[in-house]
Amino acid sequence: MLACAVTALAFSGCDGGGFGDPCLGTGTLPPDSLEDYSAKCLDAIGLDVPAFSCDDGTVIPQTNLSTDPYPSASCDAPNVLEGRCDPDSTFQVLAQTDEAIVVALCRKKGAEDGIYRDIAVIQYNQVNGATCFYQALDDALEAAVTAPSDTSGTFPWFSPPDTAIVNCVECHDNGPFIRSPYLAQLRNEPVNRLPGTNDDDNVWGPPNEWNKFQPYTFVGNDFQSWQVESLSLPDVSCMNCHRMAVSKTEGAYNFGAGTALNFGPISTAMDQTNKNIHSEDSPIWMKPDQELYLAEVESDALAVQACALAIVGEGPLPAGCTAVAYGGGDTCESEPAGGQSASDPPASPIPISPQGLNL
Amino acid sequence: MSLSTRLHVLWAPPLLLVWFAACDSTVEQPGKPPRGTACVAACELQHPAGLYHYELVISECVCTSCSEDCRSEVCGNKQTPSDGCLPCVQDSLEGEACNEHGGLFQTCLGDKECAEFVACVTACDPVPIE
Repeated sequence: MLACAVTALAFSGCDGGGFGDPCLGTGTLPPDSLEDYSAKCLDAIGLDVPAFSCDDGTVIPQTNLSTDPYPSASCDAPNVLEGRCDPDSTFQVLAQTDEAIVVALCRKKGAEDGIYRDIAVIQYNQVNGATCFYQALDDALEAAVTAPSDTSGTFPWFSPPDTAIVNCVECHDNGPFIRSPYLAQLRNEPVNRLPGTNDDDNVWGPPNEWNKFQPYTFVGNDFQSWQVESLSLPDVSCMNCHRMAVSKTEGAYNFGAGTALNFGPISTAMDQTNKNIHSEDSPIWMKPDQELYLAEVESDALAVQACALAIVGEGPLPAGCTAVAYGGGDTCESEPAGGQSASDPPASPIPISPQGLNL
Repeated sequence: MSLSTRLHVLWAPPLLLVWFAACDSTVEQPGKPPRGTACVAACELQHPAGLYHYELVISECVCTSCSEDCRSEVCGNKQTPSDGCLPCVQDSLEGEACNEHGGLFQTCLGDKECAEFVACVTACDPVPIE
């Protein structure tokens, strides 16, 4: 089996540099066990995922919450995954160094005290881009979570192949962390704040240009087919601050979500599902420091969406719309993905024709 | 085109085979296509990979239109919907909660196998309430 995998790697076409066509699709390699995956992640990222309690996290504020029951309530900053206000959900930073971070999000989804229904962990190294995802979904997840590496752990973590099915990259396509107001509102928390949200956060702060230049690669056999492409389009402002991206899984573009296809229009629209009317208390997501809807900003987001639709083969190609594959499975690299940093210029974009790389 | 219409177009011939293979005693007359939970069971047999994905990411969106009992049965215990619960699950699957705000459940609708399983379930005829 190992010989096959090595042979497959050797002939995978990865040696052309960067993230061309998918290298090792999910299913080409044997699936990782949770233990093997967490060991690979520790090796690549340098920080482990510890045991933790969701109840120890910072409760994500749902200010000006309406009296409607979950999931119908509105609030100032609903989540974007489902467009819901989800009271008593928690976020926490489990471990952090200058290079790496491990964060956990425990979504309540209406469950009773001490119970959660969606627990997810992201483990990321901003120097080499290595990223790991852990997921648990169930109607009644206990707050006490055992470490994925703990072979005697009883927490029902998904196996890596099952987490791959969840297809995290479909949304997390411009970098490891989606900084919507739902989590960005924790920017002033002393510990439990999302990277790229606090101006004084040194290497973890916005001055490091989050989701613009940081490398992004996926660790583990089950995630090698994930690929992300960053879009370019003249005369729009979104990409001045961060990538707008699309993603592929097993060689096919993801259509359902993502920054360019979905979050851009959501973040700039006149209204947002279950969000209170844009106001000082409930400012619009994009752009930063903007409170109310601006047609020209939405127009930019829709232009990027049109570019993305063309790239995935669902529309005409706007003038100047290009995409460059900037991240993928970590076995697909011929050189370290961490070649770029905040101070380095971005890689030259490689024009991509609709539905694929045109190298 | 709605999910159910798509199912009728795409899966009518294969379903005929499954109907004969998977019908159980709840089917009133031999040779008649199964309805209700028996039909869903046939879908489960026909789309095992889709069922697997569906069960991984099942969420309350699938039960948006359901009573507490059906919610517990389908979304809590992840059981095959009973005859009584199937209509509310079908309504939920075709509703906005799953299709526009389904969260992780939308990965199911974006996956061919899972989407075909959902379409199969959505197209099942309910058992008439006596």
